Amino acid sequence: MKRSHLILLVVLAGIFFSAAGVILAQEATPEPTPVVEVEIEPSFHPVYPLLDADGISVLTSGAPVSTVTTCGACHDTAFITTHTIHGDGGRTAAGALPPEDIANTDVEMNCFLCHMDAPNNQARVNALATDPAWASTAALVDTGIVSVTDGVYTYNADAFSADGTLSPRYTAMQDPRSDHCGACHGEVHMDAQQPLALPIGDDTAWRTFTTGQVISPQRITGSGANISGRGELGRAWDIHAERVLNCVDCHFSINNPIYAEPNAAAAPEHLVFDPRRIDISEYVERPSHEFASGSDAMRTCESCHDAQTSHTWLPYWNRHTSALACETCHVPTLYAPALASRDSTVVNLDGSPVDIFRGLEGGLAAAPADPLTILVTGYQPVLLQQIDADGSEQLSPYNLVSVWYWVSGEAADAVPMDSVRAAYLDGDAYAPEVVAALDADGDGVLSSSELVLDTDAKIAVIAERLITQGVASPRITGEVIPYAIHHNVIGGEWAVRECSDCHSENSRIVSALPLTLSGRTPGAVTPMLITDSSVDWNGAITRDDNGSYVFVPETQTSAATLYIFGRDSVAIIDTLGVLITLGASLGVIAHATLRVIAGRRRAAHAAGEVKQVYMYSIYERQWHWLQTFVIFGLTFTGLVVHKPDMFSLFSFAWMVDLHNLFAILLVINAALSLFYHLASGEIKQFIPRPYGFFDNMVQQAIYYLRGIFRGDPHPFEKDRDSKMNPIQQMTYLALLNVLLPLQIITGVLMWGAQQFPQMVEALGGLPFLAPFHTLIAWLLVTFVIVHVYMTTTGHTPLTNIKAMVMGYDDIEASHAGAD
Amino acid sequence: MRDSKYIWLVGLGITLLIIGVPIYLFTFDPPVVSADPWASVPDRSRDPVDHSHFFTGTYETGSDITRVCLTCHEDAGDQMLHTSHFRWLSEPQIVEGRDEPIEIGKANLVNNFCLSAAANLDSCTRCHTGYGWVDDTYDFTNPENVDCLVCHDNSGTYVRAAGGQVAEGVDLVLVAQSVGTPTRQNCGGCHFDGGGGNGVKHGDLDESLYYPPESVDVHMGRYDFLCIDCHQTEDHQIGGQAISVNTNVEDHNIACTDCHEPTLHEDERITEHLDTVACQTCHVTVTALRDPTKISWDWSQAGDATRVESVHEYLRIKGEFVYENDYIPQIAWFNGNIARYLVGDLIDPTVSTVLNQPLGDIADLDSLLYPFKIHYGNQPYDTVNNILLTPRTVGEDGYWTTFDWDSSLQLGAELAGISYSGEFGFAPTEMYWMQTHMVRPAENALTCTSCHGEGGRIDWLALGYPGDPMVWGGRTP
Repeated sequence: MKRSHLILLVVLAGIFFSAAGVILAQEATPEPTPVVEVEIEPSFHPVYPLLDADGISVLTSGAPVSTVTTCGACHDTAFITTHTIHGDGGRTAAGALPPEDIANTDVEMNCFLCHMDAPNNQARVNALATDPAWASTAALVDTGIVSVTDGVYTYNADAFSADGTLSPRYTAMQDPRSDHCGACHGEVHMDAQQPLALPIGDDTAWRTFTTGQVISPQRITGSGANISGRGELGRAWDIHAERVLNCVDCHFSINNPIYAEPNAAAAPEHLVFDPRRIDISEYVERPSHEFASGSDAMRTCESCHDAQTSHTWLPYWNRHTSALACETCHVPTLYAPALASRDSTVVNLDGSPVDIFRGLEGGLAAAPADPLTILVTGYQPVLLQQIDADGSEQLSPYNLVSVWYWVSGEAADAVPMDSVRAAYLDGDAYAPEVVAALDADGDGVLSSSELVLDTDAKIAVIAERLITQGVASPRITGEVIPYAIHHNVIGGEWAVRECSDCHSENSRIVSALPLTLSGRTPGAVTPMLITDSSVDWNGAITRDDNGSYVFVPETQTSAATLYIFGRDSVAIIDTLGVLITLGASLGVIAHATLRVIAGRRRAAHAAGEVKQVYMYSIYERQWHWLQTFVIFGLTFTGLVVHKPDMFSLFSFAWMVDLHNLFAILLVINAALSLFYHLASGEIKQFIPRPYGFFDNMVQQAIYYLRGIFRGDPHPFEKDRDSKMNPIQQMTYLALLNVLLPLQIITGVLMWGAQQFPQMVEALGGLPFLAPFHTLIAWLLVTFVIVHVYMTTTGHTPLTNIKAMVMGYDDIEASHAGAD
Repeated sequence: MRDSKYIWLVGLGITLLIIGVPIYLFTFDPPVVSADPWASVPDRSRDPVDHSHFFTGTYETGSDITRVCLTCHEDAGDQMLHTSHFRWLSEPQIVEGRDEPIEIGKANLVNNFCLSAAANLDSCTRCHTGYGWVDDTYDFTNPENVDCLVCHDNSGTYVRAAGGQVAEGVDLVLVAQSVGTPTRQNCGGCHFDGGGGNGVKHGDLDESLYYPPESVDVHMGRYDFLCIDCHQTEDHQIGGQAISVNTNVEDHNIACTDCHEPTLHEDERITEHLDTVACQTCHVTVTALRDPTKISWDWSQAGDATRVESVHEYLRIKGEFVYENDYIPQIAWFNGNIARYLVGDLIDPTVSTVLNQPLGDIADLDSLLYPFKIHYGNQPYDTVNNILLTPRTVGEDGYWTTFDWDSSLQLGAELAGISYSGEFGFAPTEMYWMQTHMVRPAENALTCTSCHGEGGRIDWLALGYPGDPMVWGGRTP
């Protein structure tokens, strides 16, 4: 064979085999199974290949999907992973009680979990525990892209196009919906038709577990939970969910050009809006995954609501809103149970700590196995001083959770729960030594009431077992942790709006929150209020009669200096006031009795001739009686505001308004009267003449103590130009220059707590001003009693009153002419 | 000069004025007076007149009773002769596509349930408020033909037989002595069972309304309303018009706003909805709450003797059905006018013919969104003439006895006065039924998310919106 023939043959053979190979290869590729055409929403998102960490298609490598390379082809995943609070793969999102150190294994951010329509969170959670590298891939299980059998992930080739990209029906991407957030953060139930079932005791729904917050547009009446009074609760769980808001509407990405607000503090003062934003394409490439929350760029109630326009019914708006967060009235009750205490010093058979919940029938209770077997009563959160980003403090609703756990070493690090479990459990049963130590009734089984370390002996047994686990100096610590409540807001018609809810003895402002079940105090360790940068503890832990721990808020603490009208008062001032008033009344009664007796003894009183003198001008009478009415009005309304529980018949808000109105009338009337007295010169009558003034006063006093009983004439003549005796002059000097101005000033300042709060604060604030105002009120009431009595000391008991009505006074003529 | 003895009265008056006027001006909030919805509800506290001593004789026929009634209620007979309850026809009205005003009503229309009353008078007039209407010789001018008892019987023992005659065994004296205000039973006897059984036709009317809990109907359940408390009646003209037998329902109809202020919602956003949305759309959220209602009726499947019968699925005489509980109404624009299919109108058998299309669309500012039940039919039509046919189903010669479509269609065509070529097929049809009863308590009304956002019940694009109006904006007037 010629060499050229050989070459030809080789070439031909090559061509043949190549062709055959191509044909075979084509035949070997299975016909793409016809995908049932499902109508899909047109997706804005382009198709993309799923890549592994090396950037190779997972179809080729079979390796786990890497979001960093897959999504990173277009999005700046390096930027995203460094601008996020969700970067740990959701490991710490669920929080931990006690605060455990979770080893931060290197898990990628899982884009699918929040941006795909229906990711598989459970598969992801399982993968995190067993095979973290596959966590992102696991989120795609059951989406049609990948399946898993016995831990082996298989990509479904049918989900991919010929070019290796995912087919369009799998590439729909979206903003996270509320239920995406709910997968880790708590119970979110957006379906309006399917009745909501409450997760009771499920610590994977963390926010619901710790606070009872449930995000759902459903009305509570329509939900499937066993809630006390459900039929009356025709309100949605969360009005914002009902109003079609999503979590990300408030917790937005902070560089989202739609929402982003440039730092207002840094902007020039004249600039109300800065239109310069990043371009939408820049945002899509580098979306910050730091979401507005808590203290930073968080959208607050006021960002959307001009609440003042809808609260015109609420008096003292500024005062209320500076002291109270919106949530205080708009989240009055949580209708899902919330954790009250977690005892991690012991473990249940399944290795979980012992949890007690509030908001269940009977107050505090353990969660039953079947949620429908217990009645959910809901609970009223406690009001704590929340410290806002700007340093201001407002009362805001919280749940308090007591936790007890083992700590070790000098640094008092939390003992890992695995060690605690190991100390208690032998396989799936309690270790015999543990049973022996804790089994009080000796039946060989640890009941829930026995599962508590309430004696030193029990503690010692467990501590010993922990030491054998390698735990150094184990001991029990207890903490009380505040969990803020900002969701489950309700509309005005359901919010707290009765004045008496706060302005009464049983003010909800100081409503106590039970912390523990009686007897559940592991190691007899009193839990400590933890230091939290956002809470200024306005109260203290006490123990009630049953031995349960209770958190009791107070109104006047270092954290909060509040004076709640109708609730707060200073006992000593009220006691003093009552004593003075009572004393004056008794004195008056005694004096009057003596006068009557003395009058009877003087059988025939030499009735002197009486002369009528025009004593009071018509204006004098007018301003006097107006002031009388106003003072009575002020006294009564003031009393109702001071002690509303005694006068529940009267509307508190109306009484406050009336009191202010009467006060204005009083001030105007007093000012006009002052003008009259100045202009007419009548003011002279009020000014004592210095010469012999004290002698005259003594003389007048002696008259009241002696002469009046003997029927002596008045020592000082009363006539048109000198109506006042020296004691009257002295009294009015004090009344008009001291008491009345003080009462007006304190009153104006109390009103000013609404108008000019800084100045009022500087002058002692309401806790000082209000008791002061009360004290003067008592003194003024005393004056009124004595004043009215003294009017009866004229020619006849009613002469002076008649004079103040008709203007003409009866003056004993003999006396009148003696001058 | 001495002051008058009564000067103090003047002073007191001035003082009280100085105090009272500011109190009134600054602290007195006049209570918001809203119209009392009860003002429009008839007062039924008065005991009805006892009629027992008026009926002491012996009576052979229903008309014997009517004669006694007419001796006192002289005008009632003539009034009844002019009502749609007696005539089964409207006043002459202008209908699009017809030259002259025509009278329409049950007597001459086709539906997609039992199809035609005209072809089956002897059975259908069981619910006619007169005695003996079986053919076109009936005297509609004789007041003695009026049946007073069917609406006024309060004994609950009155029963009617075919041809609208009093049934055997009815004690006419007992019935006549009981007469009074029409009760739910009087109205419900026909209207709750329209279409041949409980709840078949309306969806929002069924026998659960005899004694409904408030969760089914707040007016009847919580406040114990009678039908005629809303369907108020003057000269025997009962208020209310159905969209199945009218081309316009604006003149004599009943509105929620007859009693309720349209501005009663506290939330102004809800008040704004009233420019676009009828009250019923949010307040009649689900119907057929206790008893199911018929959703579709396929006559073409009738006649199969081999199929298993089940009253809610298949009957040999009637064909195949679908019933639904907890019906979620369809939302459509409606301006009060209806395009009604009239006997003899041409159809296109390849598309579904809507027998009573509610008119209106997003651009028509007179139309609002209303809730409807849509009943789907598949019924006989003439494949040559392309008109819907009116089979005779009842009687010995009717389809329910003979199972012969051709002969019953021929008979029915003669009775209804239409032509029949002898060739027939089955054509899809639809009927709209406004869902306006079964108003549930306010706490059951729809909320924002029922319609807006993901998973809402409204197909915005189908209604002509570019998208959810919450974000895309509503129609601009």
